[in-house]
Amino acid sequence: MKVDLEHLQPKRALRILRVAAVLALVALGLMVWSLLDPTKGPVLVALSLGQAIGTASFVAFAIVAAWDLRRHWRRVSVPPPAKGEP
Amino acid sequence: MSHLSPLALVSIALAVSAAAILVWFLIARPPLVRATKLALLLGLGILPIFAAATANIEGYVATQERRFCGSCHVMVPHATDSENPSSLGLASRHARNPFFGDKNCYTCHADYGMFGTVLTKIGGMRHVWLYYTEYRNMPLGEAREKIHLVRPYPNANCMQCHSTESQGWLQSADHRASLGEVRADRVSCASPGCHGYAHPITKTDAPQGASKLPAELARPEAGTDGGAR
Repeated sequence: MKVDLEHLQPKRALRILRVAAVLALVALGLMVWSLLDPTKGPVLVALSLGQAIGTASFVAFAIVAAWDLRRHWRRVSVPPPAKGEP
Repeated sequence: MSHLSPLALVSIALAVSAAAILVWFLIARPPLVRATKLALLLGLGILPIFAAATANIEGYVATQERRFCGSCHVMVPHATDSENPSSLGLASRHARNPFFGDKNCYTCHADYGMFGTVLTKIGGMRHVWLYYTEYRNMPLGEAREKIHLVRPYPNANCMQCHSTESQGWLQSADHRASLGEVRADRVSCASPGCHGYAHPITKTDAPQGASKLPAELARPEAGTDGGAR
């Protein structure tokens, strides 16, 4: 997934966050499964697939967070229009 | 569900808290205002990171327990023998010692030394790979014939506790006579002539019927994954 922070739209950012939330729910589910049933299947799935999905979710969140921070810094660094300017 | 450790409970609590935030975000679809951002920082960042960290520690601990080793059907006879309070096998006798307890597989089979834990875990991954590629559907009887240690069991692992230095140990004439051989790994502590097999139930040449698999484990259908539990 290629994300251009420069042109990321709020709508798309929200969509990315929703995908990240779903991925995180899956990863957390795998993790809890491994805690409740610590046998080879659940533990290995949680430590491999669960980690990968969880990391993907966090990366997606970090991208949106970086975009949001960038947008915020841009806004505060642009001086407000002088009096009388349109 | 096994008894959960405090760390596992913390991990589950963190995961459930994160999940609650995420479900709220997905269902309520709130606007991306400051409160939502803070909630997402918790639900997608802080809580899952700590939940994953604690779950990883718990996962690592779980891989040291006999229950984990015995979750591969080919290891069920070993685990069952270890748990048997009347077994006289070395593994079972050690499992009755609280120092080994539920982690007796790991305590005896772990490599020691500076990189021991890492090497043990790499070896464990090899076991998992072989299990899924070769032994997953193998009947127990066949597995007992085919599965063996990749290299002879090192006496150094026994010597972590039995140093071979104490007077009590050296009082045994057999120990004194074989001291050099034992320390050089030319005679195994766990050989039939010495302390016997660690898992006699898994050996076809073990004495006194110790090698006989229990009826419920010897059934052909017990050979498939899960059938032998």
